[in-house]
Amino acid sequence: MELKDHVFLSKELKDTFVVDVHIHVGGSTRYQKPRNDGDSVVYTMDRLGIDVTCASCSPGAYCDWMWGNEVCAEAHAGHPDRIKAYAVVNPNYEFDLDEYFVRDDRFFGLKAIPFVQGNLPIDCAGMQQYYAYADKHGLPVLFHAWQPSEVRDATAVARRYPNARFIFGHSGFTAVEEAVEACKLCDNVLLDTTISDIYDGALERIVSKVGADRVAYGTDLTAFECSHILGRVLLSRLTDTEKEKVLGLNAKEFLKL
Amino acid sequence: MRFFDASCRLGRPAAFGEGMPWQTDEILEIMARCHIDGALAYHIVAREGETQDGNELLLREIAQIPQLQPQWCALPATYDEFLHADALRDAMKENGVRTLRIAPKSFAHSARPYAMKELMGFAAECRVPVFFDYGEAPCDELYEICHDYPDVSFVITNTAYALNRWLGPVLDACGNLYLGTGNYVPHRGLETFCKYYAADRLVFNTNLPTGSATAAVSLVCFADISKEEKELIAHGNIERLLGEVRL
Ligand SMILES: [Zn+2]
Repeated sequence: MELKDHVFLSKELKDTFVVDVHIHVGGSTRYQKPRNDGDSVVYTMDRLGIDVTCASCSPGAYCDWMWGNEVCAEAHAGHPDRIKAYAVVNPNYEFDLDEYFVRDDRFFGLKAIPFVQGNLPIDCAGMQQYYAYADKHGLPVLFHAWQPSEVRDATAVARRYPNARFIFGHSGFTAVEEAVEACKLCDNVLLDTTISDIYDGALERIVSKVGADRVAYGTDLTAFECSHILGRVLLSRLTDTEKEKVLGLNAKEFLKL
Repeated sequence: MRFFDASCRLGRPAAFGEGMPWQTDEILEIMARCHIDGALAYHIVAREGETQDGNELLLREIAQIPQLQPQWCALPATYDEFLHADALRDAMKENGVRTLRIAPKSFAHSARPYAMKELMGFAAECRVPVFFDYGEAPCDELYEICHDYPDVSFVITNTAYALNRWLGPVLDACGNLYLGTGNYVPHRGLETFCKYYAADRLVFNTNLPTGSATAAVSLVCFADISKEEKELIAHGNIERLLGEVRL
């Protein structure tokens, strides 16, 4: 059975290791975001054959990030082997990350999205404390890297902190040139497949430019569904070997899962 | 499972992403890859250039392609700018056109019933389904037109995220509003829709070439709904709507 057949047979991916590096938990005032808790995430993972997801609480990023991190940690606590938790950090606060990574073992990485925290750039002064911590401890950091300027900033950060590992969320579709440049300059950068709406062929385009080793499956679940992005990979023109790398093998190595 | 795409677009775009399959043979290739054996197509010139010229271009483009059926763009015939009802009926009949696409916002006219009287009267009489993209009519106007023309089946395509709170009350009030599934991506959205409104109001479409056919078929195939519901969504509902057209 080829990987694409799973779509038409509506079959979960049993024999393929699948990691979603970019999901969200928690509800939102901004729009209807149903089934956003850990149990619902795992229900969807089981139906599709997704082994591990990496979550942050996006609504928390927009307001009380520490509240959001509790929501995320709770989802992780209910399913410690299935849902990994990124802690959202906020550049407007001084915060000792030992709180999350030494006195608490519920988090495995950081989520950085400072543009919703006072329209601050990724490389702003307030974020350096967090990047330095990630660098010191070899933590993964998931960026919301949508705009070309954000990707350029993220690249500067990735170069300055070579021991931290950075996932540039969205960038392989929204800022292609900059994402390609980032992959060229930095070994510690991985792109993800997260975008709700993109034309067929866009995944093949970014993989042709950076290689199948540099792109990982991500979806923005539960802000969106995730099966359509899974299908975009499964029905793409990539080979099954490339699809397996994108779906899970790259993330496994990069995130040391 | 086989799919019929209720709405895709043909024609040369002003700009496009590298690798975007906008040419007709590329669209046919991706349809085949996704098990989509037929589609209703409109032309980009009819939507973004000049409506009647574009509708003509469409007929020429698909004349030799049995998988593709024409969907015409339409606007109110004010100042005789478009075909009046009788002429429109004759032209559609002659050319095998069974659906229309409106674009009130882009075409700079109101979507309110008073402004759409002749066109919607025609669509109601002939049971012609009317398609439009989300955002082409504010929800209040959408409600009014669906409410005032209950015999017209309206199909909303190119949806965006964050629409459920806007759209739900219109779906509650108007049983003649259908949802195109292309890029309808709330978490377990199809399953929820089937629970609240029933699968017979969902119509599979891709929004090709800007939308993704691979994503659209996967949404349906992987949805947590019955095989019967999937068949209705994939092709059954649009086939029923097309079968009701009386020109
Ligand atoms: Zn996200």
